[in-house]
Amino acid sequence: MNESARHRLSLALLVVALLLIVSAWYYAFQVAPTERTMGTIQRIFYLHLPAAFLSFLAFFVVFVGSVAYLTTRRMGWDWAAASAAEVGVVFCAAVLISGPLWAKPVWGIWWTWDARLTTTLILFLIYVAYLMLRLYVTDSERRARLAAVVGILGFVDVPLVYMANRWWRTQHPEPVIAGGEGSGLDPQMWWGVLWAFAGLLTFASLLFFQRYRMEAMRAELTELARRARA
Amino acid sequence: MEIGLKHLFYAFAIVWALLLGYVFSLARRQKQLGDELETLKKALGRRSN
Repeated sequence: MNESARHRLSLALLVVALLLIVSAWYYAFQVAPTERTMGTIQRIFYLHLPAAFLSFLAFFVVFVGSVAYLTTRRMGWDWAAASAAEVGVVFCAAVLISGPLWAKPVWGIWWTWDARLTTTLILFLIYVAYLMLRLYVTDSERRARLAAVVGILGFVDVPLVYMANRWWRTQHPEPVIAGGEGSGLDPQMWWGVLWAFAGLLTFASLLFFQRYRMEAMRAELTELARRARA
Repeated sequence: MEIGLKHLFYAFAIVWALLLGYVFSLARRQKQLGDELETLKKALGRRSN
């Protein structure tokens, strides 16, 4: 794809993402019903939940990219894993910021070391470590190999985060989506959360492609520098 | 402002600031790489001429 086509595609993705996000949050604030016990603060849900799903999805891409790199040794997979890790860390940070801001007025505390919150913080730290490892290893093949191992092992925490409030009794509420008996969401809340997820997913895809492009540029730079030295 | 509303506002504002900060960081790093690539290509071009 040439530079101008890439630029047009990025711009189109950005416009679609912004339209989806703004309309989803308008829907969440104006159309979706107010939750009975928590009141208006519950609307953080339309940011918190899609961001959490996106960080899971991004770390799944890290896992797939890492396995594929170790199997094929093609650098493109490593670039995809690195790009997804960075985007995933940003969305995981969004979860860790919006969570305490939701918790304080509802629970009366910013943070507690319960299973769901702690495993989420560990997930964030694992992928920060993954990105730091990539910064400190200079040889590209060694970096890709080591990062792939961390990317695969780190993914073990994702199902733990997901299952934490199903397996253990936690401060974090029981799941409303795919939870047990009595769980579930108002259909209008469902629409709001899916809509917001679609918008943030489009935005995250744009960030992923831009980050992937950076990895490709960095590889080209390394190759040119090698030729310049020869 | 109602306490819940204040926290709701902070959550959306801080997350948007975080996302925007990341977008700017990506753009800055991409531009820096682009400039370095351009310089190196020119240097290699001069050397081969």
